Amino acid sequence: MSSRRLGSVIGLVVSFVFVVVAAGCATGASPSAAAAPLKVGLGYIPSVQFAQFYLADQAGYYADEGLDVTFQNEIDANLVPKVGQGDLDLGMSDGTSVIPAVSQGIPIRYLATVYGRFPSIVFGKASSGIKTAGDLEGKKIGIPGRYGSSWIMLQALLASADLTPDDVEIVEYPDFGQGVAVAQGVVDAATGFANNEPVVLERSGTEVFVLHIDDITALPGPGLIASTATIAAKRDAVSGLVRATLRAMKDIVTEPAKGLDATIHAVPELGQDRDLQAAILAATIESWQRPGSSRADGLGAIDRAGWEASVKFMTELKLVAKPVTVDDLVVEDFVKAP
Amino acid sequence: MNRNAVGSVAISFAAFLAIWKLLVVVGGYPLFVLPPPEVVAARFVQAWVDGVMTPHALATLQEIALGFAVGAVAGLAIGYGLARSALVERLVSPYIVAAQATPILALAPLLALWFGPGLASKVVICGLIVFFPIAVSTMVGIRSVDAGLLEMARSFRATRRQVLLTLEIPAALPSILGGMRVGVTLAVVGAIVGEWAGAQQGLGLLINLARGSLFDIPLMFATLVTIALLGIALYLVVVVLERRLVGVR
Amino acid sequence: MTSAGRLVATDISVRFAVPHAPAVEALEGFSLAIERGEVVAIIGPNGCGKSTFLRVAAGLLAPQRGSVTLDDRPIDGPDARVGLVFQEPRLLPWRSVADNVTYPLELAGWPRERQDERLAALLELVGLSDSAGARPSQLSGGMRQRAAIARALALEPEVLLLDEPFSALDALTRERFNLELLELWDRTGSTIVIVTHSIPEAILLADRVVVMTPRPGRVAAIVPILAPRPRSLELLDEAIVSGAAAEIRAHLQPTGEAA
Repeated sequence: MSSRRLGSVIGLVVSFVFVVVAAGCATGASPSAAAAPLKVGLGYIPSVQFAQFYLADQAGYYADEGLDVTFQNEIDANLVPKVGQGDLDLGMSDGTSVIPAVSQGIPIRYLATVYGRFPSIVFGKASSGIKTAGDLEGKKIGIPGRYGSSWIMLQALLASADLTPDDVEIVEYPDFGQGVAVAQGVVDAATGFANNEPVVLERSGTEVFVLHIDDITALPGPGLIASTATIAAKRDAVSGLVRATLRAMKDIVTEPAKGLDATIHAVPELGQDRDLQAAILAATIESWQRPGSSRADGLGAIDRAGWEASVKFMTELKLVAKPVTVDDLVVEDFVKAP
Repeated sequence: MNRNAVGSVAISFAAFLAIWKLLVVVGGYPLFVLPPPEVVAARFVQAWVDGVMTPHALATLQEIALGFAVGAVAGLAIGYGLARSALVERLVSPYIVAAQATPILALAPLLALWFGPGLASKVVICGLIVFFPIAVSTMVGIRSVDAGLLEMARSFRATRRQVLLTLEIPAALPSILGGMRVGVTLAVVGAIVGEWAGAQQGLGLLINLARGSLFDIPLMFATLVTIALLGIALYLVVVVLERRLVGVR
Repeated sequence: MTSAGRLVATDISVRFAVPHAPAVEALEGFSLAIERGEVVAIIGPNGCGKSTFLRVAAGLLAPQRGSVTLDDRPIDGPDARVGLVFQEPRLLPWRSVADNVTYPLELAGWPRERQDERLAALLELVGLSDSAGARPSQLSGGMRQRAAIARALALEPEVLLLDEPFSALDALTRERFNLELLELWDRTGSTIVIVTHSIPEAILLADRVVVMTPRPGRVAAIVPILAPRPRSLELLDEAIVSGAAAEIRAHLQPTGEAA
């Protein structure tokens, strides 16, 4: 072949490849031209406690709202700043993080409650005789560390009985082994999550006691957060995500098996112990609902009084650098009844 | 330090601050991602004045001091054994090298489990991290002692102990102190890593608190500044010690 | 003046093992009797065993056969009665001249005041009184060697062994040091054994010159130097001396030279 002919063949091949790639890029960009992408940080490893997200994804609730949602399903220490920066569109966080973050100038807002009950609790063996916060005086309490929502919850719980951490014996388990310590009788009580340690302990045949802070003060539990910029720029998408997620939550409250199946479909490894996952899901569903509210309704509603009480308590603990009001912290537009 | 040295340090530091500020301004970073130097400086001063920084700094300093002491003593002893005994070298070397190759970040939680969340585990972690450079520099230093000097000492009937004290240690001091320069800066790393595996006080804990609980990023940076200053100060201590002990040769 | 210092070597044999090669006979059947207060020079080419003999005499090397006695008492290890000066000064670089000179006294456990007394005398002996506080790195090669000699004399040894002590110095400085060594010998009266490569040096210093040949190391000849004392540099031109030099040279054949 002459060099001129070779040149034109190569040119033709290159143009053809270019067109194919360009077309592929155009079509591969999004499933449908209208779907809005959203990145959501769940802040923990895959777990049945995220059943509503798995269900909403698989049942097409997000697609119905015109959304293409990707989840970051991992432990992320920088979740709140990432949401504040816009690197994540939404995330899961609770009052003990949102209040100091906003106070330090991180521009986030809490826009839907997922856990109506504060999931961080104090638990132990019923045989220890502990029934109320006051009974904790002088006892050994296992905690992961003097930080985080569980530490704040513990201080609030002790304060309700006029106690401080100095009135109890704190034992630290940086590797989160405090549940094992309770089972072995090394400590009398420990902090944990309502849908985790007590469930596991009960299934081993031990009777447990659980102290909930919301029986005393309503601390706002984890919920969906987003930056003010995201709320402004992607209002419709955020609204759609909240709606779809609450829809899935209502489904699961009515029919828990739906949530269980969706979870195991998303995370097959969890199918190895269906019974355990079902028990955890049941405890999670219980935590979604505020005490005293009827089943399935009121999901997502934001409790202003609870937020006010939290701000007051955390200010007393000197964790609030600049004063904040509830309006600095929450946006109720997405959960108000239409 | 002479005036030229002070001048060049000041200039390079000013350049560093300028680049930092430029980065913040050009990148448009918010306070909670990369605070500018003046905010960090103000927060640094405030943290010390408020007394927030002091207990944590003292706790970490204590861990470093004890950990370094433990690691240095072990390093000196084993280093000497490695230098003077082929048997010791054959028996001990593989374990030392293996321990050094295992990242301390992976060992720290295990050590915290065995030694508890208190001072002990931090001292062990620091000691481990400090041990290797000092053992190696001691071994090299002792081995480098001039054979002619050893023969001279022998000709004057010096005992083993006299050879060690009057000849081997002074001859090996430059090398040993070089290893200690490295060791002391590593000890700072060790203390912080140890605290991340569980602690009640310390600058490593304060970093985690500032970042994860308080969302006070300027405080986190101020803590990093404290850690850096601590490392520099300790390094200078060794340098001064080296000048006095090694002297003119 | 000491009245001791008779060094007698009897039938010394030293063999060094060499890997993958036949052993080296450094010394074979070496015998030498050195009288009290004598100055003996040992001269020979490289590998003739002269330094090996010095090490045996100093107690640093055990011979396979034979023995060395000093005043009828055996030398079987480093001995305070024997002072040793090496080819290099071998001073401790981190110590001052004074602390280097008193090093043997320190090792022997002398109390501080006694050390200081002896130090003053030693420094004066070698002419280093003004350099007591200096570090070896601040001194010239010659001054360092003076310090090494002072150190070797610290414990008042009966015998002073020197292994090519001035070979690192230039020829003119070397001559000066030779004369100073003679002065020192005159004042201390110790027996001196000096290993050297230099025929003029050997003749200037010694009462007898032991000529050695290598493979195996043994005494080829002992040449007496009959020149009267005190010796001087002008002596090197005398007929007696050139006769002795010729004789020494003859015994160093067929290697031809001392170095």
